[in-house]
Amino acid sequence: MCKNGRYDTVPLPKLRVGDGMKCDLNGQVAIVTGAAGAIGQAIAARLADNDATVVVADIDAEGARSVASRLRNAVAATADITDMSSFASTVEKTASRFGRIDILVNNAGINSTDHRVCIDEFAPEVWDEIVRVDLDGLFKATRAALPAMVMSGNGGKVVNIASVVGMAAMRLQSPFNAAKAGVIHLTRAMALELGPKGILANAVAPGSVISEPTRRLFYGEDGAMSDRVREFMAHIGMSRPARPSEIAEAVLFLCSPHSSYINGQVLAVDGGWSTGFRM
Amino acid sequence: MVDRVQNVTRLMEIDIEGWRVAAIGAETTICAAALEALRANGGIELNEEISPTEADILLVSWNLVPERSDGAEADALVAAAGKAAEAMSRRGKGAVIFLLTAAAAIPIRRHAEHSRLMSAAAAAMRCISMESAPHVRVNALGFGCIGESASDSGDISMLTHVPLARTGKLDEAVDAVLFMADPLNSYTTGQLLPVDGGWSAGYARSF
Ligand SMILES: NC(=O)c1ccc[n+]([C@@H]2O[C@H](COP(=O)([O-])OP(=O)(O)OC[C@H]3O[C@@H](n4cnc5c(N)ncnc54)[C@H](O)[C@@H]3O)[C@@H](O)[C@H]2O)c1
Repeated sequence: MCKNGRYDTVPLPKLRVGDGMKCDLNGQVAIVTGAAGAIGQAIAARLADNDATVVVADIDAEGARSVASRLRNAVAATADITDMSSFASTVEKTASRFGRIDILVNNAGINSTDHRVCIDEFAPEVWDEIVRVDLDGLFKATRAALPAMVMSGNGGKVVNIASVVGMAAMRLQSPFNAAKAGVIHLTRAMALELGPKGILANAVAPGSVISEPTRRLFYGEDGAMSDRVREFMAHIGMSRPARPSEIAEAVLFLCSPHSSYINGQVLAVDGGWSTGFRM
Repeated sequence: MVDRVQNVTRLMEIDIEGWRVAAIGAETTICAAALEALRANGGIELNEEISPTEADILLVSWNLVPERSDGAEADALVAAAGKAAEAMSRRGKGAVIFLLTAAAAIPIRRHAEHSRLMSAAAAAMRCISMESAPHVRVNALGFGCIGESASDSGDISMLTHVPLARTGKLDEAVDAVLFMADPLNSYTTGQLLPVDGGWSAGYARSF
C-alpha cells in the first residue's frame, strides 16, 4: 500500500510559531501531571502562554524544575500520582499559594517499551505497574484535586490524556490498552457526576507522538523514515507522528472557558489513525 | 456559584489571516455566526459567485433542528464537500468542518430520519478525511441543544439528560468551530466532537 506510493509519508511540517489559538486563562491555576515529559511540557507551555499559572507536577523533581524554569507563571512540584497523600500535599500547596485550582490535566503515564509480548505471556508485575500509574494514579490525582476545585466554586476543567489505543486496541500492550480504555470511560463518568458541580471532564486521545529524543526512531539522519516506520505510518491519514504541541493545542482548548459546553468527550488527536480502514 | 460561562465575554482567537472561508448547505444561525467569527479572525469570505472549491476553510452546514431535517440535499452536500476537500488537497492546505447535531453520535428515537442523516454525514466526513489526507483536515461538530429552548440546534427534550442542565450558547458553538479551523490544531482529522454539555457521554440515551 505504501510501496506503490499512493500514500506518501510526509515529513513534519515546519513549526509555525505564534499563531496558535488565544484563550483567556488569566487568573486561572492549572496543575499538569507528568509535565516534565514530552507532551506534558508542551501542555504546560501552552497554558502558561495563555496566562494561566501552571504547576508543573512530576515524579521527576529535576525534570519538573527544569521545565518550570523555562516558563513564565510556572512553579515545579514533585508529586507521585500513585500516592494520594503526596498528590494531596501538592494540591494543598497550590491552593494555599494561589488561592484556587481551576484546571487539572492528568497527563502522567507510563507504558512498557521493552516488554511487548502477547497477553498469554504478559508479566503480571508489568501489568500491575502500568495499571497502577495510568488508571489508578489518574483516579487518585483527580480524587485529591477535586475537593479544592469544587470548593472554589469557580467551576473547573479536568482533561485526561488517554491514548488512541484506548479506542482501538494495539497488539502486545494489553495493560496500556486496558488502562487507557479505563481512562476514557472514567472521563465519561466524571462528566456525568461533576457536570452538575460545574466541573467539566474531557479526554484527549493522542495517536503516535514524536518527541525530540524519539525523533531519531522515526527519521534517520537523512530525514527519511525507515521501512518499518513507513509501513506503520501508512495507517495514519497524516502519515506522520504528531508533534507534542499539536496535542497541546487540543488540550488548551478543552482547558479553556471556550469549551464550556463540551463535556464527557474523547477527542482523538491522531492524524486520522482511528478514522477508518485505509486500504 | 459563579457561572463561569457568564464570565466569557469574548470568543477565542485563532490566526487565519488570509484564509478563504465559505459555507455550503443549510442557512442556520450557528453557521452564520461561525462565518462571522471566521471573518473576524482574518478569514476572507468568498462571495457567492466563487465556487466553494476555492475555499481554504469550508463549513458544511446541515439543518440542526431535527424537525426541519431534509434528506433531499444530503447527497449533493456530501458530494460538494468531497469536491472542495479534493481541491484543497491539490492546493496542499485546508479544513472542512461539518456542522451536525449530536445525533451523529447517538441516534434519537423520535428523530429517526434526522439521526440517519447525521450518522451518514459523520461517516461521509470520515471517508472524505481519509481521501484528502495528509494536508487537509476534515472534522465534524455534533451540537446538542444550542440556543434558548434549543432554537439553534437539537431538541429541548434532550436537556433532561445533559449533566450541565442548560442549553448551550451560540458562542459556545462558534468557539468549537474556531477550534476545528485553528491551523495549529493540525493533527486532528476525521473526528466528530459533540458540543452537547455531556448529553452523549452516558446513560439514558433514548427517549
Ligand atoms: N508519546 C506517545 O506517543 C503517546 C501516545 C498516546 C498517549 N500518550 C500519553 O501521553 C501522556 C504523556 O506521555 P509522553 O509521551 O509525554 O511521555 P513521557 O514519558 O515523556 O512523560 C511522562 C511523564 O510522566 C511522569 N510520571 C511517570 N509516572 C509518574 C507518577 N507516578 N507520578 C507523576 N509523574 C509521573 C514521568 O516522569 C514523565 O515526565 C501519557 O499519559 C501517555 O500515555 C503518549
